[in-house]
Amino acid sequence: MPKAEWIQTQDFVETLFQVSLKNTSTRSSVESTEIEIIELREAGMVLKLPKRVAASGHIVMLRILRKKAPQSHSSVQPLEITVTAKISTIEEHGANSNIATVQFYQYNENIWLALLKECSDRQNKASELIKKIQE
Amino acid sequence: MEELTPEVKKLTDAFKELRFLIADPSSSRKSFRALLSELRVRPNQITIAEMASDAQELTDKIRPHVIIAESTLGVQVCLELLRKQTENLPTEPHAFFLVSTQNSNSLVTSAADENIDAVLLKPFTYGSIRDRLLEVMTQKLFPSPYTSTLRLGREALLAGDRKKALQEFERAKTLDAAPALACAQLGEIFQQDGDHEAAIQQFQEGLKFNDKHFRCLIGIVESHTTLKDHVSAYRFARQLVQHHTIPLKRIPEMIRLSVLNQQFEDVVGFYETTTSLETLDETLSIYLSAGLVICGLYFLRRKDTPSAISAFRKAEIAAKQQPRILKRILEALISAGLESEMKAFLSRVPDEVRNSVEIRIAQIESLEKSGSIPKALEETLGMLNSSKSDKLYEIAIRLSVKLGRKESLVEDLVWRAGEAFPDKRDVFSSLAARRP
Repeated sequence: MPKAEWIQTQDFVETLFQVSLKNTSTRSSVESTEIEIIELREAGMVLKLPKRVAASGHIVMLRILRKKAPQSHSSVQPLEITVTAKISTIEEHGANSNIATVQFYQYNENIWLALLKECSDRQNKASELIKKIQE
Repeated sequence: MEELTPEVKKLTDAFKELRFLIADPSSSRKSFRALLSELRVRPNQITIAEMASDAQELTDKIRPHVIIAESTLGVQVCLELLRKQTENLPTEPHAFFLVSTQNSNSLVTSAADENIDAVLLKPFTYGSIRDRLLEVMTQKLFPSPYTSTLRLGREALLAGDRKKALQEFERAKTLDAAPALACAQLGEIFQQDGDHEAAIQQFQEGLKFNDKHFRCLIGIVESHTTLKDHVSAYRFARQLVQHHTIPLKRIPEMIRLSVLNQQFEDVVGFYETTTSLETLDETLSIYLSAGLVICGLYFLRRKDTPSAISAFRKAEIAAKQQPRILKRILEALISAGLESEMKAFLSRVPDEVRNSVEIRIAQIESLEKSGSIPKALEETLGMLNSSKSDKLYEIAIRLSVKLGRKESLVEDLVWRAGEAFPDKRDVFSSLAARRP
């Protein structure tokens, strides 16, 4: 058996998600650094947004990017999807943020389902790693 | 509200007796509240903490059985919450879930090594957090006889009843076909007692059941290392790395083992991997650079100067301007007489490092070694005007004696040194007494 490396660069690779938003109702935009994806749903998402970016009922365009960092150590290519969605609910979250639930209208379902599966597989892999350490 | 399956219903019935803490400074609480609500947890059973200090206070106050903590609270805070939870509920089932956007294998195994029950990766799907919560809580609330006996052993250990803990872990061994974890727990008790031979026996027994068992492998590496059997420790460490991602806090131990076994190509391998990462843990960089300095010294002893210089160069990069490590590199270059490399090295380090006491002392020692003793003394006395260091006083006294300076000047130095460092008066006096 070949001698295994003590540590492998792929063990330090992180999966990152970036999402930018264009509010077509108010014609304003928000950069990805100000938005956090919390939960992925079958045809929607839960996001943390800066206050006053969107209100319930607004139509938004979302550009979602999933990438690996550092990309040079991963064979997985970045994945991008653009979505038209409606803000279905919005709740206050502290002084500067809101939690928004968005419902997708127009999107590539295959890409989105692949993304959901990838997240689910990533969670399963994490659970397997934990079991291996704690069994 | 959706109908629950009989298995989930059984679990949610058991949830009625539990207290939940969601320690969430950022954003996940809405999802977890919805999940707990679906699992029939009443609002008065759930407490939310927005800040780290609140989370710590509430962990003591409400003694939660389940903690769901965001990693943005900070690693140390999360580990503290886990410690408090275990301490506060020594005989009750409890579970700790870490919610994290960081999702590397290294982070996950590091969390598992700290006994965190599950890492919930963000962004998550409702189904994935639901599955994980149900899976972990089923194991906690309805454990197998084997798991339940192991828990009794751990509770006895926490209560300080070593004898009962040993009995429970021995009993657990009879309740599973491959009781490697029971063996690991027994081994860890013997380790605490300092009986490493007995510990190794237990770990070996566990490895017969499962030759990949993480805790048995970690335990046997630690015991062999303590017994200074570095060859065996290295052998088991290699076995460990064949099957597991090494948690971050264990890597320095592996670097040390490689150095002790003169497996210097391993240390270079650590370097190659870690320098390609965007961030590197500070402790890890210190161990790595120190290991590379030892590599360099080894190559120097073997008269392999190019390899030594290469190792020192790597150590310099890994050291990330740590003066202590840079000083060791400089000392090594000086002792090997590699003057041009020493000058090149000094031209690369930033001013604040070049002017640090450690580096300047190394330069003074270089001057002394090259025979420029008056210049070395002048530098030392100049430095003493601005930095009071016992090491500088020692050098100043030693050089003054070597140069045959007036007795009164040497005595004045010894007096000043003694005033600044009273507990080292004897050292200073004995240096002065070496006058020819």
